[in-house]
Parts: sequence; C-alpha cells; structure tokens
Amino acid sequence: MFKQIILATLFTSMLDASPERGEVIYKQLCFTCHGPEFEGGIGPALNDSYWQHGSTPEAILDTIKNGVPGTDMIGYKDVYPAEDITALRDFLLLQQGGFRDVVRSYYRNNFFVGQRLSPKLFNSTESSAQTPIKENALWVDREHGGGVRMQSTLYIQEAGDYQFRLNSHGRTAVHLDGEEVYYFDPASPKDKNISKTLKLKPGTYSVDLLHTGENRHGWRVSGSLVNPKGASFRIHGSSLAGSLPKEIHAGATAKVIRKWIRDMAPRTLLCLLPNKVIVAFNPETGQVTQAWHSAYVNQTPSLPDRSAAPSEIKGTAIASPAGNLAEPTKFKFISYQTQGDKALINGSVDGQLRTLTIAPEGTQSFSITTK
Amino acid sequence: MKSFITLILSLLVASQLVAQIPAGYTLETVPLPVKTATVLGLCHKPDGTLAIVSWEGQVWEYKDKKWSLFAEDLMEPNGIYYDQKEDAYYVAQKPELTRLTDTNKDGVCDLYECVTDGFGVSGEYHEYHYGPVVDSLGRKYASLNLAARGDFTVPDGKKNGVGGGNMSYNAPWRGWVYRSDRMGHFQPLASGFRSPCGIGMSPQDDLFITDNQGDWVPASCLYHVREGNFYGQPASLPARPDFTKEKVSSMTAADFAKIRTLPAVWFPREVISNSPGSPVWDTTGGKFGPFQGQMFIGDQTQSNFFRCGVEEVAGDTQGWCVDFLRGTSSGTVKLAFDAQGRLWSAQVGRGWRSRGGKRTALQYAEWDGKTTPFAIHSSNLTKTGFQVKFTEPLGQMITPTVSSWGYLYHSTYGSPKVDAKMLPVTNYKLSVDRKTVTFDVPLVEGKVYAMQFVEQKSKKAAPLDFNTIYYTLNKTIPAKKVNRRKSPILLTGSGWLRNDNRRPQPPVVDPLPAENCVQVAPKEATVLDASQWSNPNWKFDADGVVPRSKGNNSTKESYGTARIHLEFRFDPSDDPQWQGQLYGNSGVFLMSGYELQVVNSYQNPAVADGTCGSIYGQQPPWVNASRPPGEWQSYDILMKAPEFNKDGSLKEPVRATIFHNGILIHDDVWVYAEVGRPYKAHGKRPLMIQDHKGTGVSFRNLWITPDVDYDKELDSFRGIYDSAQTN
Repeated sequence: MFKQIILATLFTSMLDASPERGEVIYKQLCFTCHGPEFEGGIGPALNDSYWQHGSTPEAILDTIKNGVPGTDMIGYKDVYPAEDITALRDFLLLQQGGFRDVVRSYYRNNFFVGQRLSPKLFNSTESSAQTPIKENALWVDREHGGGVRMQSTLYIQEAGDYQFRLNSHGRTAVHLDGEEVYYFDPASPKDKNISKTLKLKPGTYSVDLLHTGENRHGWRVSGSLVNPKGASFRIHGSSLAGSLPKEIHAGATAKVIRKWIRDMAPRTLLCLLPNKVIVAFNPETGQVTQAWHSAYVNQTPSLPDRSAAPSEIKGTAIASPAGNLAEPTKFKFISYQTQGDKALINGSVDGQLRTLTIAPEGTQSFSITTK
Repeated sequence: MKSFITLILSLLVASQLVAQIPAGYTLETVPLPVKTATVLGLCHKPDGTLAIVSWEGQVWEYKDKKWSLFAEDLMEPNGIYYDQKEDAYYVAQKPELTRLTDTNKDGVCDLYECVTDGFGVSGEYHEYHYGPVVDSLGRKYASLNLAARGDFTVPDGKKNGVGGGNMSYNAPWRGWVYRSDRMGHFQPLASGFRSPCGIGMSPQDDLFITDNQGDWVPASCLYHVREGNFYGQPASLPARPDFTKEKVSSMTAADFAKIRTLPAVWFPREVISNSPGSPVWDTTGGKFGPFQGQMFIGDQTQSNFFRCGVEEVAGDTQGWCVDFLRGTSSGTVKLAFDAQGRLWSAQVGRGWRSRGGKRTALQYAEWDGKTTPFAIHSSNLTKTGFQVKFTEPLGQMITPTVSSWGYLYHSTYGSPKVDAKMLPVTNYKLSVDRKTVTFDVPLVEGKVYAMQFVEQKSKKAAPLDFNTIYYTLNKTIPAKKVNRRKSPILLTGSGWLRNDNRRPQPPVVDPLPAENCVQVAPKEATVLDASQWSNPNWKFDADGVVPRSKGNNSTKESYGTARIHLEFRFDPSDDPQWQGQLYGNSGVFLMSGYELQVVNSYQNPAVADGTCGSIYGQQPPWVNASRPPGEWQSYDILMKAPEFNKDGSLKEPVRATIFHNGILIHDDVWVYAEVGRPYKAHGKRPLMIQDHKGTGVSFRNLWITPDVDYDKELDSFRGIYDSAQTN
C-alpha cells in the first residue's frame, strides 16, 4: 500500500508535459541513433522491453538528462529545458507502454484453496519470497505451485479503450486500482472472460494479478494489453531476469565466439572480423556454413530465464561463402585463436595439421587460406 | 524514492528469510564485475586469484580486489578448473570441454583448444554441461544433462509431460558422465543421470554426482559414480552397447529398478535440497572448523550449504546429510575452498527460483578459527541403529525423534514420501565425552532415516542450528564380516577396486565374422614367426600355430610404439575345474609390462577387469565380443609407448586402441600402471606372451609394425573395420 501512494505522487507531477512535444524532439534528434521506428542503430532499440539503465520513468528521465558514460549518448540536460526532456521521456514511454515496478511474490500451496482470489485474501497471509523485477513486464514463473502475486503500476498517458486479454492455466484474478476487472477459474467456466475492454484515463493504476495453479512447463498466465492505436504489449516474457542486454560487435581485431543460433550446429564458431563480416564455421565438418556482412550478434534473447531462446545474427547474408575444405568430413577440430584481424582455426585432416585463416576482405567479404 | 521502495521490500523479505549462520562463521559478499550477470562456476589459482565463469560466456579473474576479463563469448560455460602445471583453465562450455590459455601472458586468453567434443549436443536449451573436476592423474570429468524436450523420452506408459518422463535423449551420451584422459579423448563412464548439475572428485579420487529431482529421480540425491553403472534415468540407456531405443521403450520401471544403482544419499526436498550443485571436500586442515574431510554442497533453490558424509556398508556407498548454513544471497550452485580455508560459492537464481532472491551473487563463508558451533557433526550406521556425533558435549540428554520413509521410482516428476512412519528409539546412550550418542531403531533397507534432536542443547546451553540429520540406508551391516583384501587398490576415478567382483560385466555383443578379422601383415610389418621368439618351449607347427607353453615367451627384438595383430584360439573344455580364469588364460604383454588379457570370456564370466580384452586389473573392454572356444579370435592393437621425464617420472602413459574380433573394445585408453606395479622408466622392451595356469590356448598370424606414429595413425586405425561392419 505504501508503494501505490508513493508512485501516485510521483506520476501526478509527470503528466504536465506533452508527449507531442517529445515526438518533435525525437524526430529532430534521437532517431539518428535510435532509429525512426525506435528499432535502434548506434543506440539500443527503444521499442522492446529491455531498458539497460533502469525502466522506471525516473530512471529513463535520468538517462536522457545525464547520458551514458562511455557511449555516444551524451547528457541532454543542458541542451533542452527540463520540461522538454520530460516530454521526450513521456513520448518514449507511450511508445512502449507497459507495467512498471513489478514485484512478484510467491505463496505456499493450499492456502487459497476454495477461496475467491482477492488482494484482501493474499494480504492475509505471508508470502514465501518477494522479488522486484527490473523490466516493465508482468512475468509469471512457470515452475511454482501455490500462489503467485504480481503487483505493478500501469502507466497510461492516452485516454481510450484498452483491450485486456488473458490466457490462464489455473485461477487468476486481476484487480485494477482495487477493483476486480478479471476473474478466471477453470473449474467454473462461467467465470471465463478472456478479453475485456477497459476504459482508461491518463494516470497511473495499481495492478494486482493474483494466480494459483500447478507447476507446468510453459506459461501459466500470458496475456496482452492493446492500446487504442492497436499496439499491444505483452504481460509476460521479456524479462531478462536482471541480465543486461548484450550485443557482440566486431572490434579492431578479430573475435571467435560461440553462441546458440537457431538452425545452426551448436558447435559452430562465429568469426567476427573487423570489417563487420561474420563467418560461421562448423568445426565438426570443417566447413564454412554461412556468412554475413554489416553484421553483429545479439545475445539478448537468450539471456532471460534458462537460455531457452537462441541468440540472433543481425546482418546481410553473403550469398555463397567460399572456403570449404576438400574433404570436410575428415576435419578434426583442435583449437582456435586470433591474430590481428584474422581468425585462425586449427585442425587435422588424416593426421596432418591444417590451419585455416579467415581474414577480412574489403568491406563486405572475407577470404580463407589453408595451410 | 526507488531506494525507499527497495528498503520496504527488503524489510519484507528479511522477515521471511532469516539467515541461519552457525556460531563462529560469517558470510561475506564480494561485488561482481560490472556487467557480469550470472555466475556459474569458480576456482582458485595458487597465487590467490579467483576465477569465475558467467552464464553470458565470460571468464573473469579477481585479484587484489580487482576484476579483469580473461575471456568472453563462450557458450554457457558451466564450471571452471585451473591447471597449475599447464597454467591454463578448463571450462565446460555447452558444446565442448575447452582449455583456455594465455600464451603471451598479457592476462587475456588467446588460445582456445578443444579438449573433447566427443558427446552430442542437439541445441535444446537444457543440455547443460557441468565440470570439469580432475583426478590425481590429471584426467578431467564432466557431466551431460538430458534435454528437457525431444523425441526420445521414457514415459513408461504415462502421458508424456503430464506424469510421464519429459527428459529426452536427443544426442549421444546425454545423461552420462564422461572422462577425458587427454586432449581429444572422450570416455563415457556411467549413465542414468537426469540433470547432474553437481560433480565433485573426492580427495580419495572417488567421483560423486548430484542429480536434480524430476522424472525417474524421486528426490535430489548424491551418487557415488562407479564406472559402467546405471543411475536411474533410463532415457540415457540407448548409448549403452547392450541397449537400443526399442529395448528401453519396451522396459518398465520394475525392469529399470533391477539394474539401477541407488544414490548414496537422498536429500529430503524443501528441508535440505531441491536442486543441488557440486560437492567439495573440506581439506582445509581445520581452517574451516570442525568438519574436516566432510562434503559441502550448496543448493540453488534453498540458498544454503549443507554437509554430507559417506561410508561403505556391505559394498555400497551410503551416508548422511545435515544442513549447515542458510540465507545466502542466491542459489549456491558451485563451491570452492580457497587456500585460507574460506568456502566460496558461485550463486545463481536465474531460470529456477532461489530462496535467496538475488539473481546471482558471489559470497564466501569464513570461520573465525576459535568458536566451535554446536552442530550435529556426522552419523554412522551400527548393526542395530545409529551413532550420531556432535561438535560439542551435550547438556541434558533428550531422546531424538526418529522417522523413516521411502521413495517411488517412476517416470513421474519426483516422489512423495511413502511408507513414512515414526520409529521407537531404544537403548539411547551417551559417550563419556558427551559428544556421541548411540541408539537402536528398527532398520529397513531402502529407507531414509530422519533423526531429529528436538530441544537438544549443548552443555553450554547452546541450541542446535539444524537439529535433524538424514541417513540413507541402502544396506544394513551384514551379520557376518565380509572378507576384503588387506590393501585394496582403488582404480583412480573409477569407483572400483582392482579385480572388483562388484564391477558390471562388459555387455556382450556379436563379433564380426571371422573371415573379416584375418589381417594380412603389411610389407612394413615384422611377421612374428618362430624365428622371432626367444622361448624354445613354444613350438610353431607347419601352419604357423603355436600353443601356449612353459614359461613366458618374449620376442627377441624390443619394441615401442607399434601396430600389432595376432589371433588366438581356446581349446574347448567342459571340465568344471577349468572354468573362470583358468579357461584358456594367457596374456599379451605390450612392452613386457602392459597386459591385454587373453582368456575365454564366451559364456564364462570373470571379474570385469579380468575378462578377455581387458587391460588386466584396470580397464574392462567396452564390450565383450568373444567367440566360443575352438574358434579363432583376433586382436588388432595400436599402442603408444610411455614417455618419461629425465628424472624417471612418467610424462605420458601408454595409450592403446584395440579391436577384439573386429569390434572396438578400447578407444585410446590410458594405461596407468604396469600389471601389478606402478610405472618405472623404461625404453623399448620385447612383446611378451604369458604362460598361465589354465586350459590350452594357441596363437597364429602374429605380426608387428614397429615405430608407427600413434597420433597420426589413430584416426585411420579406428576405421580399419568400417567396411567390414557395413557389409
């Protein structure tokens, strides 16, 4: 209860600024690094759920004001007046929407059996663990029997009809500012109400999601909120479990790395050359399997939870990467190292040592020599 | 404002999670390097450097309170070991065991070598790879998780995923523990693991694994790993030469129960452990308090450290566990003692909930060197009950409450406690120093015993932090004393003694057709005909056949690294006096000292490391490919001579790759002693064939190609029967 009061105080002061003014500033300046569609470029994407430097409205404001040391993101507090920066922040939040300051609590089994789920009921017992979650996503653990409670703040800037959709395995109740807006009990199908239109006004709402169910693999509760413009944001997933987003870009010297990429042999060595070419080499066969230019590796998707999602290679595929060995299946991988701008892969073919040197060529290509 | 919320939250959390730290101990937190997210493993270098690996793929070094990045962008390295001799780290990446070396000594890794990738990896996220740990011979051991989803599960008739086993065998050797003797080598050791997150090598060279509760694993537990054994999760069985997927799918829980080895210690869920990590042994010599020699294990869910001890009873390993410290910041998965005797822990609460609440942490526990905490020290089984030791003299004696229960072995996730009951405690006695109690309870094999010392106080009126010790009773002490060898020789890292009759027999497979196994001597080979042998008692007949005769027979020439072929035949016998090791016994002594056993093993069992094709007294063949007596059999051997340092110490042992009747029975095995004695520096020595008491055995078509290059030849040698096998 403390929390709601404090947050409400904070948000009231925030709502004076106009997001329209923010949009003007974004289109003047910010898009050069963060992309016209917020997709990122030199700077990180602003339309995903990951906030590297804090997801609270306050933290985002601070990042714009003071910048990020060691990056191209300078502080803008001396460039724009404070209300412009606030407007910019509000504009960004509007693009992303979502829940903030999420706290997840776990409760022991059996306490809630036979009783209608409500904040009052949950308040009457002690949780076994309580964890603040950094990202702006409601995120329900899959591996926990008993009760789960997600308390958060929903920040709405634009009045209108919001579609609230939920898919639940187990009993689930959602309260908005203390009022039950959703109740689902698999044992009483009449309760089933999978979609609901909420008329919301600008402001902050406290959201209380209450859930009980069995352990299961896969989401126990998933759902989304669709704003009047038709953009939706999920209320699950997206949590980095506290990890930081991570992209791996080419440096001044070559890098050889290993990441799990969908549809790629798990042992594949990714050679990141200084000209931003990535060469995928399968050490089991001794073959170059794929290559990209203007490329980098985004490890962020594989960082949440248990690494159940693969990393991604972003870049332009090179049509027919050269350099396969004559007898690829006999290649026995021994080691790799880097030498300046080159990646060296050592192996043996029929007991004879071979070194493959993968080197950058021009701006969009690479060469392979075998010794 | 934000910090105010955090404060309120931490107050709430604190009321739930009161740390329980034994008297005399402190728990310290070490700040992690910027941007490092999730610590998965740690180790220490003798110079005091601490190294950690992170889920995100980094290796960091921590020295003089400063972090430096040693390597990055590996694939989920889940454990790290530092080799002082090589000045290199070994890390278990998801797809590979890798050696990391900083060759130019600038503090950053610049050479990444594949130690082994002999196992499969399908890409399913749950195929974690844990380790390595190392035995006294420097050999590396690591464990391979099954996949969480895939096309080969063992649901045992239940609905898959809902009550029926969900863990899947997607790629070779998943669910196994392996050993890597050297760069490029892979030797599968034991099967039946589900999620073997914990791996540890005891100071006595015994390998231990902890597994996580789930399908076919009724509760989290500690296994004493013995080479060749099966530990219960059947999805891993198709990799064994005597199983196929079809065979495994046709079997039931009752069938698997007959062949599985029980855990040495069950960890009761919620009170001790839900998801245990790696065991380490207190070898600090008392620097970490009064628990020398005991095993410490952490748990991801519980965020605790607990202690374990094992003993051997009637040939089985079994023992106890008791909680030690609670309230770490996050899940304690990997532990390591440093030179000052502090217990460090790599902690993670990512993916699976940890009671500590933090996503990750690095903490160490330290003892003040003087305060003895009042704790249950350990427990031993007696013939009629238990002995329980305490760290401090007891005050007023209070009889413990003792209960027992069992677990169900099934494809369903976990097991409830079954057949739980309270037990009568009789004959309760206290030792003169008031530190040891003994009592009698009814003992039933296959049960976990919880001994709870409620309200028991020390003489100084201190309460127990944790008042319950749990003992896993696999076997009761036999009434009759079992005769054991006076000085048994433990085979390093294998879990077995030399000539151990408990060791499983190698699986029987079909040999290749005899006509495919006659290898003609190539022109560079020396044909070992009558002229090449020194013992005149061994007489070759006109067909070049020579029966075993009086006295060992050595070649006149000496040999080192070589490719060898020979054929042998046992005289049929149905005399019961000449069975077992006396049915046709001889041996091929490579370089006069390393024995490849020759004995009839066709429907004639003997100790596993004495069967035909064994490196005698050390390594049974991977499979038994014997033909019946009366038929000619063959050995094809590629062997590498041992190398010695100038001071006579061993540099590189004998390696051998051997086919028996066209079937690979040793794949680049490390021979780590001569028969019955340790290595002693030597050069080339004759090839010798042994004279041994037993029924008749003859040899023919013996030839040797001296001075081959073992490493160069190995790959093509492994393929010499490939065409024959596909025929």
